[in-house]
Amino acid sequence: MYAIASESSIVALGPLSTLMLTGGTLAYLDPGTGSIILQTLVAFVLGTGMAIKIYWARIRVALRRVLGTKRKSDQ
Amino acid sequence: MIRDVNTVRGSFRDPSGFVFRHEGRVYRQVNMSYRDHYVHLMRSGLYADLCSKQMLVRHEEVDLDREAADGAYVILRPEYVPFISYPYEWCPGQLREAALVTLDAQLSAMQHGMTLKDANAYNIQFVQGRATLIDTLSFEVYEEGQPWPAYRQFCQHFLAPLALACFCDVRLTQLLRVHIDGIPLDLASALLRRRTWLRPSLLVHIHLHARAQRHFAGTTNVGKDSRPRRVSRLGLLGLVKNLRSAVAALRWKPDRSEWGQYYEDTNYTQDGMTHKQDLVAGYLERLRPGVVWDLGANTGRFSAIAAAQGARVLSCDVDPVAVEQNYLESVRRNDGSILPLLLDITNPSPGIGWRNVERLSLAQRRDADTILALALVHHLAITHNLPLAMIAEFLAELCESLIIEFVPKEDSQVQRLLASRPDVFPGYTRRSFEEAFTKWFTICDSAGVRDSGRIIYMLERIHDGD
Repeated sequence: MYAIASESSIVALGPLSTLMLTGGTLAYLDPGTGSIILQTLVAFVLGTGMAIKIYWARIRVALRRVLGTKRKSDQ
Repeated sequence: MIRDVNTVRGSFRDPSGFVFRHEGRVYRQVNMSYRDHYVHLMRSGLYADLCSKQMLVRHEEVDLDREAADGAYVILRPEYVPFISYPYEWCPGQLREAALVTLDAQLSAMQHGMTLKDANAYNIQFVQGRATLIDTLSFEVYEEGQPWPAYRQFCQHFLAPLALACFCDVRLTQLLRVHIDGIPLDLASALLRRRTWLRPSLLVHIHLHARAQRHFAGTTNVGKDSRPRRVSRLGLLGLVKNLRSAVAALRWKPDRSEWGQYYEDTNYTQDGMTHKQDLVAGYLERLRPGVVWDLGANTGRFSAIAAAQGARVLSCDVDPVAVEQNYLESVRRNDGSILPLLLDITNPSPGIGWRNVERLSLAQRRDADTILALALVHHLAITHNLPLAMIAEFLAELCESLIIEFVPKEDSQVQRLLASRPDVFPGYTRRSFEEAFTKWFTICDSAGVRDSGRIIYMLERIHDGD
């Protein structure tokens, strides 16, 4: 029904790896804060993935052009 | 202006409006503060889009100014939702369907410049068999860069219980009974097995989410961290689609439970089962109930008989395997008249939430004309030590007529229940059964099931003055 964003794209969540290392419980003040911050990071990564997906054809054409030009110049 | 409207007691959190009852019908007031969002919902095409897909309950605007409370913009009369069920009464398949509809509603909303402001499982109801959003005021106009405010709630209400059912134990969905705003993610994370850390969606949306909540809960330097968090439209789309693929992958695959193979594990002959079905169908035809509650429905064989006669059926069982099978079969048959629910009759849903009336008890939602209690009483009386008089009183409180099966002590199924315990049930006899039930009901008919000692009764409630 919908194009599914690849789950594998979120494996490369560099910024999130820091969260895995954090620990300790402090007062329960604002349960939404952490959710919003995490969402911002996840959405950034997934959004980038989607953008690459959407523009992949153009990126490929551009890459081919660059690489093709380079190969020609190598020859 | 009449301020003393009969507000539905679970409808108080959202300042956009509230639900109230008037002359037996349910209405929803839209407050002035929500006007722009409501107008956008109706004019953007979102309402029509969602209604055409049966994802949102239809409504009509009505002229009920006299009944409106202060601050009303418009009064809506939503399509009638026959029975309100709660997420802790759903099998995993129903919870999954409700989650998918919530996310699909969010995706549709984004196409129309709106977003869901909450993702509350209680906003979803099964209407004619389809998971349907019943809170028309759940949408707000989307502002560029706005994060999804319902993200945490979605994870707590849907993703966490589904993941727990699929990867831990299906009984953990009952945590929703205790935690009215969904299962806390730190609890879900602690309960989920280590291997779930290897699933990217659960790693992020549950485990890291719980860590992030814990980490930032202690943030006191508000000034430093108060810049608005922005999420691009594409990022939001990616997030919602990722959640959708995560939920779609969460299909519960149950082990064989004690009663999951009940119909194959019965002591009836084929002839006896056919005879029992004919007896029940005949009694239902005579009673012609509009609403049937099938208690101890198993996978819903007898519920289907009632539904085939035009009744709306609540098909309840304590076994999640049976309820899941019943639900999946109802979906396959596209039978919207049966609502399978996970219910333990010996411990039915209580009233929960604020003052114990935010979510109603099972008894407060009673609407059955007829109850089917087939192959049930021996479980209540012998497995759960419930006196027959108490069972009769309980059923009398819930219905006008009753089709009930008495399974005698000599029956092999009863003997099985007695195999591992002393028989402390000298009062479990046909005579005392009839004595207990005739205090509340009149026996209209009864018949023995062929090839067995079982008896099916058709009973009608006695009312004062009868």
